Amino acid sequence: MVKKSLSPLLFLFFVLPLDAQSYLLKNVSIWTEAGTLQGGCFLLVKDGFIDSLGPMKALPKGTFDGEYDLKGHCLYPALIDSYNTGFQPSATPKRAEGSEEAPGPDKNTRLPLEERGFTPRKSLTETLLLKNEDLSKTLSRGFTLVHVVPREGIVGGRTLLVSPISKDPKVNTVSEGPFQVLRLEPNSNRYPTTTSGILAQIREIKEELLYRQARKGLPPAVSGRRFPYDPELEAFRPLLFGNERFLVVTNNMVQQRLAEHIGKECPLPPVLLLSPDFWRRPLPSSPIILPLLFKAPLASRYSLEGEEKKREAEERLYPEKFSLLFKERADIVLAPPDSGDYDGLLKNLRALLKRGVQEKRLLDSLTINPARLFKVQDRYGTLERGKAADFIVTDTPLLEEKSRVTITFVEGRPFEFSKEEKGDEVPKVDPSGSWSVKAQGSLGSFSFTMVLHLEKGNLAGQLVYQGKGFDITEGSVSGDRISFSARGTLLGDQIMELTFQGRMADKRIEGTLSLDEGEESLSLVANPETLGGEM
Amino acid sequence: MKKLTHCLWILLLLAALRLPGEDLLLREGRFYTFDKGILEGYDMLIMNGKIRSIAKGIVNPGKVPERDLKGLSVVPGLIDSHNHIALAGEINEVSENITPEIDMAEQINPDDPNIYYCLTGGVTMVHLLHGSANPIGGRNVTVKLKWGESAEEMIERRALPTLKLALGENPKTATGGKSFPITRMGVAASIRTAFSQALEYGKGWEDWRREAKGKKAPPPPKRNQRLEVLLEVLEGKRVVRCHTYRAEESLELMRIAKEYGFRVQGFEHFHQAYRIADELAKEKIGLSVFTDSWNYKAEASEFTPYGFALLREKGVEVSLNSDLSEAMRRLNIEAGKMVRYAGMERMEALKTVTLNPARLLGTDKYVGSLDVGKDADLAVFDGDPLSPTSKCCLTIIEGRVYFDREEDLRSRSVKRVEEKEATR
Amino acid sequence: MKRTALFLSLFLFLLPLFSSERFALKAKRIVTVSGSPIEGGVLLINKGRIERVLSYQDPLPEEYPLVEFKEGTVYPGLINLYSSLGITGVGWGSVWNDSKEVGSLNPQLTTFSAFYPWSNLLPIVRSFGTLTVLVAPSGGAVSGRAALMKTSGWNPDEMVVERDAALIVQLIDKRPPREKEALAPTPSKRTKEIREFLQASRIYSLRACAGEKQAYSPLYEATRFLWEKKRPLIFAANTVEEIREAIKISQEFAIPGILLGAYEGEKLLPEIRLSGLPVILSSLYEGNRKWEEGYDMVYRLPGLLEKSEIPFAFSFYSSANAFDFPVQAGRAVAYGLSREEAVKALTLTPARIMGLKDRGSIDVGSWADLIVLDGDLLEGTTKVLAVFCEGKRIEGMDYFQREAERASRRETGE
Repeated sequence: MVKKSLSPLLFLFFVLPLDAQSYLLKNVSIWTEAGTLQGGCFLLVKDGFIDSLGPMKALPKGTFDGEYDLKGHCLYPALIDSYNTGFQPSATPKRAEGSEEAPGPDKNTRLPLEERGFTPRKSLTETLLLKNEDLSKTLSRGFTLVHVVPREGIVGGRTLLVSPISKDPKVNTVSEGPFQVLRLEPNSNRYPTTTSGILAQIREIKEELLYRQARKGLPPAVSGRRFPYDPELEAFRPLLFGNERFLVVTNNMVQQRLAEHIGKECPLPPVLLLSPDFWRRPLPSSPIILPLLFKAPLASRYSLEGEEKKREAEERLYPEKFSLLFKERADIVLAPPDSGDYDGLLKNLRALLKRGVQEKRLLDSLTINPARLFKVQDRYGTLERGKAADFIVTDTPLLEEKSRVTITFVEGRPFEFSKEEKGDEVPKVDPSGSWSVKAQGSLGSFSFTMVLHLEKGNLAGQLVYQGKGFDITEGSVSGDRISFSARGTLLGDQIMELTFQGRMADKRIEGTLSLDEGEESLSLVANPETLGGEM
Repeated sequence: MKKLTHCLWILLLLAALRLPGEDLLLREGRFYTFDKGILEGYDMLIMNGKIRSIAKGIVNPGKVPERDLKGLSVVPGLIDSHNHIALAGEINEVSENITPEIDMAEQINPDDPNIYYCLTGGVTMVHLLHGSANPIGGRNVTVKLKWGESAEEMIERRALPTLKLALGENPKTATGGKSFPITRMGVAASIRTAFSQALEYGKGWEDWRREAKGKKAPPPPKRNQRLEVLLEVLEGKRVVRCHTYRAEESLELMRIAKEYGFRVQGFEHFHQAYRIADELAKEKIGLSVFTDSWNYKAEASEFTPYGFALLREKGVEVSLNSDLSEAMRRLNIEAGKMVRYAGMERMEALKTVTLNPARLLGTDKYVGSLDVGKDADLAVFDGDPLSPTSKCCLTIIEGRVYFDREEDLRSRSVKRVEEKEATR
Repeated sequence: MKRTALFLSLFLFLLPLFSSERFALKAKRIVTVSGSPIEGGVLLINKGRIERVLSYQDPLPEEYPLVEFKEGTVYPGLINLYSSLGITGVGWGSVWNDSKEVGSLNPQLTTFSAFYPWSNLLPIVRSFGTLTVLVAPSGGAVSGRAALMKTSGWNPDEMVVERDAALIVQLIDKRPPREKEALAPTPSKRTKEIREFLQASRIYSLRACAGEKQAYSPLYEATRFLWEKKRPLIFAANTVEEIREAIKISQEFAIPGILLGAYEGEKLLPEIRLSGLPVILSSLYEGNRKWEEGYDMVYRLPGLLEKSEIPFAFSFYSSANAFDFPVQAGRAVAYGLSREEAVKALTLTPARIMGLKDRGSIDVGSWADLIVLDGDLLEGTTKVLAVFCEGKRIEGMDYFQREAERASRRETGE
């Protein structure tokens, strides 16, 4: 197999257009639609499409741009991530209560729809944020389509189906706006502040649209008033009267129940993102996306502390309930337990497999079912002649322990992943010694000293700031990348957590230091005071 | 033949859809009835969730489970007419003043452990209300505390639909004093304006309906769900429950109610009710109050529990509520205090937590007393039900046991959660 | 003639003195708490103390005018060992609230200095039977000094029983989960802080007693009463760790300690018993906190304490709802406490915990702090017929009664 490291390849890929190359994969076990792995097969990719596939004896003759002999490997249709709230700029931090924001709303004026969280026209294409690490992570786990969902607002905007191969929206957008997202978390201080208020607002929008519709074309004398065109309002028309759908995100059973009420307002039932305790209610007949999370949702307003034990008990039940669901329905679409947590998804899939769920059902819920949901089943979802060449090659069957994706094909272009990409790299640099550090951020600039000591890949040491010591709790060095987290007390009794990620080169360490789980980020430059392993 | 089987299947399906009430035979209990007094050593037969008979020595009609209640007192299931448990997603629509479109029935959370704690106090029915941040808050809902069932099954649809209004400090200060209204005058004016708008809206639809019968029907006016709820109130299909503390603001509300022609069913927390006992009695407005909890804010600092004697004298019907998740476990003790403050007889005091709130909620045909034909909602105490020294050991709703103290003690561990889930 | 007139007038003048100083109280039942109840008894009260206890058959001495309650039961006045009476008024977060000061170490604060006896609340609390309260501050790690006050009298000086009765120490982590109060250190730091403080305070007191010269410190000066008068330290502790810590500190420094709250006390009954620390229970109306503990967690604790022979007293911090003080004891009876112990935990036990030998029970020689009820103390249906504070009957109406009376006459003002 030809070994290539990923980053340069990706870099090149952004420069070169999608081209027509042909690849032949031989001796590989292919996942069939019947739900089994058929060994000794081949697959031919041409011009970004699957040209042919079949048993080895039907091997086509000819020369190809790339040939892979994949004895012992397995080939699956590429996976689809059906719910991802990443790839967007981080949410504007919620201002602390009682801060510069106006203390309390004016209860007599209603702000326009956009300012209250109803922004159906917001498009993610403008704000999509694709970082190299995110792209490579998605591809390295075998996901070639990501359904990006806006994470702010009540009606937050259209979702987006992207292919994580390029940062250019013209290239990576597969389908624009399959659904309109609706979250049942009310905003603070602006109508609505209750979940019932969200429902009431949607009904009001519907009434307004009906009213305008009935008066279309009538002279003002008859219709009663003039109707200035309101684009936000009109954006709701296809949702409430047409054939566009909401994607309702629910976090707990109360919201799931409310989502059903919303469903009654729309001609097409909304797609529901179910809460983990969906099994307490009869299942909706509309399409569902299910995050594979075996955890009870957060306690409601009036429940008592100490509910953790009750929830733990429930977590033992959840896999049971999920497996029952899979035995009942075949059209479920699965999503990772947490946005972007692909390893967790695989872990939970394995748990379900242990409970007797058919492997076909599990894999369908990540391939063809989401393809049907997003209406791209003509191009993606299964391995068939004429469909896009999106598939993954793993070194063992996907749902076995310690399976790893070795090659991901996106639109006929291969991306290979070697073991080293996961970051278990041998340290190439030794940052032991004492350093004087300058950190700069929005809070200002700070100077402090740092003493590091590297032993067998583990980094230990201390940061000293104004006489207070921050002990490094966990640290590692792989290649030339250094990362550690430190903990200490500041201002007497406030415990502060720091994490650092950076690189060392030419006797300098550079990187970012973030405080308290990313609330503040400082860029850091360290110069050596003394180097060489002595504390 | 095929049609018959079809019909049978449909009937079976319909029967299965409705939660069937259960059968139960209670033996040798002490039943607190309001018309016949305390019946000692009687049996009660419950069929299909309703009280079939209360008599001595009832014969078991066949395979009805029996329960021995020797030495225990049975009272009608207690009713808490004002509470905010089991609601998720914020009970106050703070951002606007007049929000009757908000409906608490949509926000019921059937998993709130407080529902169970209510049952341990013998409470079987609760009226869940919107908060008091708005002059006109939202629609309320009555639920029966069927712990373990879904929200739809808990809702008591036979109760009166109600709308929450609030007067006094809470709606004044809900925005930090920045937007109209911040005075009691403003609160009253907001309510008047809202109802005037509802009248106008109603007239608009009346006019349209008349015109629509004619030749060329103009398009209908825009439906406004907010004003429609207020119109329901004006047409008498919905009643008002108003949060108030001071006598003058509630007199103003009574004036508004008379002017616009709607019914104020009850005043909540009304600490100064004793000052207008005559007026309340004349309009037959009920009260849903605490016995002696006071002084937690300025407007609650003028109060006397001996005012209940005055109210009793004038014939005002008093119901006791808890409004808190711990106080609802001791509704029976609060009822006992009425003996001390109002000079009530014990049975009369028991009514303040059973029959009176049932009347307030409009469910007195179905619950609130141990009468044949009513729902079998019962609370069983191991002593005098009005005394703090006796505790509730059994709570039954529509013939089904939802709280059993022995059962609770036996399975007091995390395992209990698992058992419950397995039987869903 | 003139002399007899003078003598008579003198006599008439002195008569009120006589009648208030001495009288005989006759009732259907007298619950002495220290012994078994007396059916049909008479108490002879003189100069504020109980002089003799007689039964119905005994002849009544003449100088004792008779005050009779045919259907009344006499109990000793109730004692509330954790109360905010006098330092709070309307509302909790308002300018009427003086119970919680800023800062972590505040032993120099004493509730006696801020006790307000003229609010409407105090006569109501008194007319419902509470005659002695320990007014306690809250807040910080060392909250301040609590004062033992009577509920009758005109100004605090008349009402004080013990000015520095105890020092309140908070071991509970009361911070709201989302706030980080910069002033309240984290729990483990708090115990360290408290230990250091006590150590330094003890050294200061020893030095002061030995007459050595040292720098004046208001904080340590304020805690000298702990060491010199052997007053107790009240630890507000709920969880198992906090209770253990309280026991440890109390033993280490050899100060009498009292546990306040002890919510998880049922897990530590033998330890608490061995340590000898009594318990002041906080209000039973706070409900249980965790589902697994069971809904009756708070109610069953008094019964368990009784079985383990740990002395305990009830308390009720909120003064607006002081009528529930005996009623909550009744609630505990439903869940396993015996009736006698319940009454004792409202009267005699709190007196003994505070070291009061002459209050809390009806014995010869004890103060005549008595309440006369028309039924059982633990029931919510009983009315208080009369209240006697140190032999003086409280006449006049409290705010509740005045308000009801005014309303019945439909007259605003007095």
